[in-house]
Amino acid sequence: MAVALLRQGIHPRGGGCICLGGDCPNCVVEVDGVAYVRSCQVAARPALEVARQTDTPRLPDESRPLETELRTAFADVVVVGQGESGLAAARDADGTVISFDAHRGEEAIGLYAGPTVVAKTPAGMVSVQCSRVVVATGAAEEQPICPGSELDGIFTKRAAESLRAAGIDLGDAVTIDEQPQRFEGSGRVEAVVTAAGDRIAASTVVVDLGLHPRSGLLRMGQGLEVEVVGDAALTDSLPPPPTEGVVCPCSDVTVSDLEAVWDRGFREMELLKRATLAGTGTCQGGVCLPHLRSYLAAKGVSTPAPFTARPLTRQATIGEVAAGYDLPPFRRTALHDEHLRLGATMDRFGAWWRPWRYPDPEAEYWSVRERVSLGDVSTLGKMEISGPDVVALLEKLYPCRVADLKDGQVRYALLLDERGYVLDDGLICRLSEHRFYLTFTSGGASFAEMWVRDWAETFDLDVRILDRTMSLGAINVTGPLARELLRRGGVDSPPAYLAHVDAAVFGVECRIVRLSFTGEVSFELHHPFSDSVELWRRLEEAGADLGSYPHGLDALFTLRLEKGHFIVGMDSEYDSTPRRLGLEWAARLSKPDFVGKQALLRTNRLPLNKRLLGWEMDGPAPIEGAILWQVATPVGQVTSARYSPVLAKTVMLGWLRSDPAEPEGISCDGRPVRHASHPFYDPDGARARA
Amino acid sequence: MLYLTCPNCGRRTVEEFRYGEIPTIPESITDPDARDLDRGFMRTNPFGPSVERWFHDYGCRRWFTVTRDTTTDEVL
Amino acid sequence: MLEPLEATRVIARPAALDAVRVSPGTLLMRLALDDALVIGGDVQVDDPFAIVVPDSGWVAWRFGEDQLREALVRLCAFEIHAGLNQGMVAGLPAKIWIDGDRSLVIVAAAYAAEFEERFR
Ligand SMILES: [Zn+2]
Repeated sequence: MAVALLRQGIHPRGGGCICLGGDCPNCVVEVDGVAYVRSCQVAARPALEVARQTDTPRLPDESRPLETELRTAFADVVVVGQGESGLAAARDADGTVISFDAHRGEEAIGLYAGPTVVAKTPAGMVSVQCSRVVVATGAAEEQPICPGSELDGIFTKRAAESLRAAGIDLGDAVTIDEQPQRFEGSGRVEAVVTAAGDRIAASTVVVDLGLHPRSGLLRMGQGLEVEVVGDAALTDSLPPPPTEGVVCPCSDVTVSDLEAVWDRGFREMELLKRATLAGTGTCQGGVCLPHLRSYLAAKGVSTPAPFTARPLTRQATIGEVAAGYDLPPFRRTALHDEHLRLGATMDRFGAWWRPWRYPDPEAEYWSVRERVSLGDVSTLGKMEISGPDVVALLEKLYPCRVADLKDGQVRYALLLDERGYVLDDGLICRLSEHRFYLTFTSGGASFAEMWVRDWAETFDLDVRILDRTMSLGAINVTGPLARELLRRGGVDSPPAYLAHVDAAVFGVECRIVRLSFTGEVSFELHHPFSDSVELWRRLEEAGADLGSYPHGLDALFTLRLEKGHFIVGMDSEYDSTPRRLGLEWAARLSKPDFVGKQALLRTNRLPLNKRLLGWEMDGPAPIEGAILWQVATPVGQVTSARYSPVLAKTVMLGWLRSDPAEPEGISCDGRPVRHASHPFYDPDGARARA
Repeated sequence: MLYLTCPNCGRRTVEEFRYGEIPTIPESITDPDARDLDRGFMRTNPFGPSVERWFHDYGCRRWFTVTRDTTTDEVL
Repeated sequence: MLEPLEATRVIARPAALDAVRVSPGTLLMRLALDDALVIGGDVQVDDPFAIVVPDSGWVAWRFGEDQLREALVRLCAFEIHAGLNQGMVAGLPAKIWIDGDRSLVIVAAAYAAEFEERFR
C-alpha cells in the first residue's frame, strides 16, 4: 500500500524517512477506520479506505466488525522471519515447524513463557505453543536523525530499491552513507548537507546508514528457548551520537528533550525512555533505540543496554488483543425459560442468572407470608459425600457436631476457615451411616468442592465426593400452604422441621429438605436437572387456586432479613467470626477438633470489637452500606436494609464497632435507629416449624 | 503465559486452574500460638522454588501438587 | 444438534473403577481416577461406598471428528487427542470425546445456552 501511495506522489504520513521494512512509524495510515496501520505491511486492494492518520486517531466506527479470531496451534519449532536464514532454520529444524513471514503479513507480535508465540496474520490471530523459537527477523536500516528528517523524499536504501523495482522513478536521487548534518527543504527535501558539510541539491535522498538487528522479540524471549539467526544476530554497532533533530518520530522526542531529562538526572536507558516516552510509540524503538544508546554512550554511560521489550511489538486492535478471550460464563438453571415466561427480570448473581423480580412484587412477598410461593434455588451448592471416613471428615470440616445426626436429620452449619472466619453456611443432611448430602450457598458453591477435597486429602481420609450443584435442580416451596401444595403433589408425610425425606412430588423423585430461610414453612425439593421444568409447571398449576405466585431474589432478601438471617458475603465480612456474627452456638468448642477451632479459642479471649446486630427504624430503608452514626461519630455500617411490609417498619442488619458500649443514640440517613433483637419477625420460629 | 500439567488431563494454560497455597511456617517460630498466627496470616511469597497446590477447575476438578520457580514460572 | 445426556455418574475407589462392569455399547468416560461418567448403559462397581447416581446435568453435541477438530482450533488452547479431553473450550469447562463420527462435546446443562452462543 505504501508503494501504491508513493506511486501517486502521496507520502503516507506527509513526511519522514520511508523504510518499507515495518521498522519506522513514517508510513502509518488509517485503513478502513483502523489507525496505526503500517501501509508498507499491508497489501493494497481495491475498495480499501485509506486516510491520513491524525494526532488523535478516531476509534473504529461501530458498524465494522471488531472481533478477531484466535487459532491455537502446536509445533516443535516456530521460526519468525522467512528471509534466507529463516528459511534455512525452518528447513533444518527437527520436528514440526510453523513459520511466520512478514512479507505475507504474518507478524509475530509477542513471545511469552511456554514458549508461546502470538502472531497477527491476515487470517486472524494465531497462538503457537512450541518447544523452541527461532528469531530470524533480520535487521532494520538505520534512520537519519538530524534537522529536516521529517521531510518528504527521504528513503532508506532498501526502500529505494523496492520503489525502483516497482517502476517508480526517484529522479535525481542522491545517496549518502553517513548520518547527514541536516536536510533542507519545505515539505519536500531540496538538499542534504552531509557530515562533511557538503550541500547537495536533490529532491530525493537515499540513506544507506547501516543495519541494526531487529532484536525486539529476542529481548522479549529472555530466559526462554529462543535462538537467533541471520542478521537479527548481528552485533549492534552504535551510530554517531545524535546532536540535533527528532530522535523518536513516534513520540516526537528531540535531542534537546533528551538533554533536558539528562540534566534532570534521568541518566539510564529505562529512565530516559520513561521520562521522554522515546521508544514507547508506534515503532517500539525501531527508529530511536540505536540513537538513544549512542546518546548515552557519548554521555559516558558504558554499554547502555537496550530497554526491555514487552509484548506487543506491533499495534493491535482491541479485537486482536481480545481474540480468544471469553467473558466468564453465567450459568442458567433449568428453569431459566420458565422465569422468562413468567415475565421475570433476570439478573446475574454470583455465577448464575437468577430471577430478581417477577411482574408483581407485592404478590411475590405476600404469597410467601400468607399463601404459598415457589422459588428457584437450583443455584445452591449441593454435594453428595460418602465413605468409611465421611463422619471423621465432616467433624473436621464443620464447627458443629455431625456424628450425632440421625439418618433423615438436617442441621444448619457454618463453614469456617483456619482463621475462624465464616466462609460459608449451609445444611448437612444425613442419608445413612456413611452417606451425607451437603448444601452450600450459591456463592460458596464454586469453592466448596475445592475446600472439601483439599481437606479430605490433607487428612488423608477415605471418602467419595460428588459435586451435584449443576446436576440437580432445587425448588423451594414456601408459605403457610406449602404442605397443602405438597399433598396435592402426592406427599402425604412431608418431613418435619430439620428433617429430609426422599419422595416423589408429581411423579418427580425429590429429596425434600425442610428448613426455612423465608420464615414460613419451607420445603426444598432437590431433583434431577432434567425434571425441573416438569416439576415447576406441575407445582405452578396445582398451586394456582391456593394463590401461589413465584418469588425472586429481591423478595427473598426482604423475607430473610425479617427473619434476621445473614447472607455470607453480604452481611458477613472477610473476618467475621461466629462470635462477631452472634452465632457462637454454631461452633461447638467442646469438639476435639475442627478447622478454625484454635483460632476461635484464641480470638474468643480478645475483646469483642465489632458485632453484627439487628436494627430497626421508621420510614423507608436507607441504602445498604449506609453509615451508622452516634451523634457525629461513625460507629458502624448497615449491610442489609429493607422496609418490612408485614412489620410496617424498616429492618436492618449492620455492624457496630465496640466503642459505644451500648448502642444508644444511633442514627442513620439522618433518622434515629433502634437496636432490635432479631429475628424481627416470628422470633420464636413458630411459623417456620408449623 | 504460564502452563501447568494436570496429571489427569494434561498441559493447560493457567487460567484453567485455581491456586492453593501450602502454608509454610518458619522453624524459628516455636510458640504454638505464634505458629497458628503465622499459618493463618503470614504469606511467605517465596522467591524461587515454591511447592504449590493447584486445582484443575475447568477439567477434572482435582488437586495436584507442583513445584514452581516463582522467578521464571518454570514447573520443576 | 444439542441433546440432553442421560448419564450415570460413578464415584468410587480407583481400583473398583478400574474393574467397573458396564453393559455392551456403553460409553464410559473416566473423568478422574475415582470418577466416571457413564453414558447409555448399566454400570456395576464393587465399592460399598461408591456414589452411583443418574446424572441429567449434561448436554452433548455430536460431531464428525474433522469438523470438531477444526472448530476446536479456534476455541481451545490445548492439544486434542483421541478419547477424553477435559478443559476450557470457548471459556467454558467442557469435555471433548474424540472418536471418529461418534465424537462429542459435553458441557454442563447450565452452560448449554452460553456454549451454543459461543460455539460457532
Ligand atoms: Zn485435570
